[in-house]
Amino acid sequence: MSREQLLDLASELDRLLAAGARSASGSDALRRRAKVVDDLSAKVPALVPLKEAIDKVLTAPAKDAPNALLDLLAKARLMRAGLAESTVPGEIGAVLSREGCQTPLPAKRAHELYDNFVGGGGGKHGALQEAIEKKEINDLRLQRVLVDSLDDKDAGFADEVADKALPLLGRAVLSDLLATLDLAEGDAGDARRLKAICRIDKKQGADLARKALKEGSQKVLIEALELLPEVVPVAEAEKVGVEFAQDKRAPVRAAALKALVTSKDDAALALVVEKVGEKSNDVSAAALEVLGKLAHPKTADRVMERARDLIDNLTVVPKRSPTRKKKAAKGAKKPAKKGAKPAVKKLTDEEIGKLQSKRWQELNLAQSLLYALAQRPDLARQDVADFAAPLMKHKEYQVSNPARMVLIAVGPNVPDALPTLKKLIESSTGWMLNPVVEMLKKLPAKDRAVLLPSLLHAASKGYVPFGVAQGLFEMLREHAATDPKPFKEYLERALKKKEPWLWNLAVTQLLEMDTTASTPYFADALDGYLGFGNSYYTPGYEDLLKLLRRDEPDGKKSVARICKTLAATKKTDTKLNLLRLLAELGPVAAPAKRTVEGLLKDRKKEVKTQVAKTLEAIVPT
Amino acid sequence: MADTARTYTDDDIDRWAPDTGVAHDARNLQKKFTTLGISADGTWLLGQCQGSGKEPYQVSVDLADAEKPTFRCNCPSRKFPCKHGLGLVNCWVKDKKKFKAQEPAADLLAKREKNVERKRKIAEAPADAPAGDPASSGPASSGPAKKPNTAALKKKIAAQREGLDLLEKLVLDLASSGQWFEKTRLEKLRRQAPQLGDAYLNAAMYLLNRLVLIGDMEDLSDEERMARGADLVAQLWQTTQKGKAYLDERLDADDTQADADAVMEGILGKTWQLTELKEHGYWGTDLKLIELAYERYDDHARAQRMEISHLLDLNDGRCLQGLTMRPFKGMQFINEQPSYTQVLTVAEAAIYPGYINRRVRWKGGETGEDVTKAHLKAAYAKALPDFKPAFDALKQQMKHPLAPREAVFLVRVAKIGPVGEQVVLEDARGMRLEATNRPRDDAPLDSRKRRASKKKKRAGVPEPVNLSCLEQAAGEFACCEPAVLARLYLLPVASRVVAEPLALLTPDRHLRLGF
Repeated sequence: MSREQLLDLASELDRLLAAGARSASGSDALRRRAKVVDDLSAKVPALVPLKEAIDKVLTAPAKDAPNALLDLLAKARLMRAGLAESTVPGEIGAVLSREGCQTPLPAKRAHELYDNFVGGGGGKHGALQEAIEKKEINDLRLQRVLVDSLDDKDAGFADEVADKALPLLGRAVLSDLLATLDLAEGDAGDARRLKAICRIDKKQGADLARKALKEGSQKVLIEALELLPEVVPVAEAEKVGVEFAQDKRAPVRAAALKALVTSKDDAALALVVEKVGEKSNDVSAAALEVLGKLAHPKTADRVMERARDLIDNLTVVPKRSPTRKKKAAKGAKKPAKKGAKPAVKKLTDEEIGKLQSKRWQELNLAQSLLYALAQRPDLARQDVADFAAPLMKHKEYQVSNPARMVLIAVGPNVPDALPTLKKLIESSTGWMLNPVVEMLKKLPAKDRAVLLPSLLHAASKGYVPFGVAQGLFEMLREHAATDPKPFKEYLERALKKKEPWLWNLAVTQLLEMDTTASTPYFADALDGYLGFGNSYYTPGYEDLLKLLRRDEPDGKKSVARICKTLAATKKTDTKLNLLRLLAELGPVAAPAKRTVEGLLKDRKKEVKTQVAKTLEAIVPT
Repeated sequence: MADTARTYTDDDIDRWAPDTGVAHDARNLQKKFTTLGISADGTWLLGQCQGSGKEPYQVSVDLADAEKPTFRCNCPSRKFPCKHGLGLVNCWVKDKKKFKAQEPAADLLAKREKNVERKRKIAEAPADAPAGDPASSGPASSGPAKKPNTAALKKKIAAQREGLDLLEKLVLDLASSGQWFEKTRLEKLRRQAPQLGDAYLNAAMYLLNRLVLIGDMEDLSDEERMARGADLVAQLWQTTQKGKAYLDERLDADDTQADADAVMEGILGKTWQLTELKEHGYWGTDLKLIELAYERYDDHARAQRMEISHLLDLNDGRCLQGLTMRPFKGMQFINEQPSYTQVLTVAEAAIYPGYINRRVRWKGGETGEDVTKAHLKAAYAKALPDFKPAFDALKQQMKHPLAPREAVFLVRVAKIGPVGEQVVLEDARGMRLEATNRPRDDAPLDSRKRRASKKKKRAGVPEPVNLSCLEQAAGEFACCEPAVLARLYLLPVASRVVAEPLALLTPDRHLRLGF
């Protein structure tokens, strides 16, 4: 009791300080509490100084009141500390049982990641990616911030956390996720929570997804529908998908289609195909996406059938009648020839416009279907090849381009399609080679060998994207063990081609190869480099240097070629780079002395400085 | 191939790095080094690192002093050591085979000689010769003690005396007129606070700043605001009284010299030199330190970032603190407080005057070894068997009016679990402490608002991670009577002591609960 009374006195003093010291001497409340302290001090002598301080406040003249109050406050402060206790009444409950808690990260790294995750800006994506790659995520101290990140404004980051980071933490985060999950009024964060839970614990995820179907907010419901195929049996997902595909809300219908992705039921397939033509973009896009991966074995057939139907029955649009000016230019009407067909009723411009629009929609739908078809993994079939080959020649690009993709997806394992595929690859250029490379990379090495010459042929013409060249190098290197010729040819070509990035890619390949295999190419590499004319390409210089040190340590053969280029070039960057190269060669490059000395009169100061350094290196004093 | 005299680790890189960013960048530089070399005697690491310029940077690390290498690099970075120097060491740590035999250039050898000469001169200089950096607050102010400048000292004391008079007037005025939390009054206090700094009364200035921050806080109840304000006003009042007594060289009967020295640091904001601390006997030898926790937070009243490494001395079980205070302005020029993942043996270290948790600082010379179960067992054995001695020690500390109302202890816990909404630690005798996150409640308004809105959305999600980590780990650790490194602190309004968990320890496991 006395503790409460003393704490009550301390609280009263807080109020008196807020009211001002002058009011303290007349305070009845203080006077009442003084009486209590008076009584207590009779039993507890330690309270006597406190009692005296209170008396002083109550009796102090106005000018001394602040002093007295502050003295009392100081004593009350010590009293409060002296009265400190720590009791927590009640039964201690059970704690979460979990295992594998660890905090392996150094404190600063943990803090750095934490700062990145809670901070704004794009840095958090990179930080998360890096942490996942380095397996740094599984630190107890990051758990809470990652769970909180599901509500991050940066939706991309939040999705990545739900998709990749939290599943790595496993069951340890389940309780946190469940504690903050709100199905009924959930927002995007709750949808991500549900997703993370499903990825960590399928059983619990399934129960929650079922619950979300009944009482979840729209966002949570959509997520639950999309997650169903991962957590519930196929038949159940199928049933729910078909049911929700009739929902009034378009995003829900779209998600319902995604729930059918594992279905092998004909009705489900028919439903998805039907939804391709729906007006809502959300729904039609979802239907196309699902068609690309639907488990039903007849999906490809149905898609081809639908696409064929569309392409064969494209709306015919008559030509517009010539404008008045054109008519005038053509002159007066010619009389109808004898035996000519009777004139067809002419359509107005508006009607033609409508027909054009209709045809355009049909073409777009056909294009989407074909692209969806190209995504499917089960296309290595003759009938698919037979379907796609003629379409490649279709006059409408919305048909011919995706048909090429379909044929590429058929791959080289359909013997009858192979010649067409080869031709297709050989006739492809630029970006069109990207899907070819992607398709080939997916195949086992032995299966792709047959198409590599075609790809090489295509890559020898015109512009080749970086990804294609890189992919080609990767695949050719794999084949080099059995047939080194194509790799060597492409390497030589790349080294000689005046494309710094391609040259550099080739040099990287050389550096990764063992010495004996790469030695003959050094001269080519140097020639390629010297051929650029302007060797500003610093990374290339570095690579060349590495190559030179490894493959031609004496460097003698190279000196003459370097000198020739050095004497001819007018570019400062080139001069500097070549002078550095000679300096790196050291005394071996002594024959270059005259050429180098010739540059002593160069107008540029930096060249002259480098010349001096090079001379010192090649002709040591 | 040559080898270095000492084996370097990632920990060393973290320790030498001026901040986390530099250490992180240094680790990503491996591919940028075009040449890597080591001298025959293993005292030089040399490298060329391709930076954004045309020319690669010439990087060298002089390992003549194996514990305290000298980094050199011709990059334009103002940070020291720069990422290239640390990157070179990182390359050495990661793959020694990449280093080829290479001798340093003549200019580097000349620089080393010059350095040795300079150190020799400092060592030989008479004790009264001026040297060292008087303003240094970093971990390594060097040189012998500075001869006191009597005139300047007198001037400083006079300024402090005047400052204390000003503070007394301010506090009396606050007490006299009341309503200390009124906006106009807070504004006036805000303006007057820097005058205390000018009068070398930094600690008093921080208290006044804190009072202003509490007055400004919108999400405090009136009762809490008044209680916390009154606590600070009382503390300011005590500061004036104690400060004057100290300047008049009048110690209270129950004050020791150590208390007085702590007051000097606490009130007058004195910056100690290592040599000065040694002279006063604040010195320890052969410390064996294990870092149990590391924390960092922004103290807005001080306008400083506080970085604390909680170190347990395995010899005597003291909980010491490696502490670095980095002012918000110019933070990049002061190195971060290192965090240690190894057990350190420190031959000599200054142990500041203070209360339960004393600050420890040393000038290089430490050696590290990986943490083993034997170390953890030894640390665990140093834990207090129950809460009572810790509780009593804190109460004893709080009897000193200017002592901090918190202290860190390593104590054994018998049970951890929830009681209603609270998480509770219980010792073997049944004494309990509520575990909480420490409220960083003097943060500027905008950040508190952000926090408040987040809390509103996800009720019960506090910002610091300590408590949630304790809750998560409790189930796994509860069975083995863990020791908790906890900061016990007083909640002034409720007059309750609560505990902020910083680390969990068993004889074979160590979990850091915060950062």
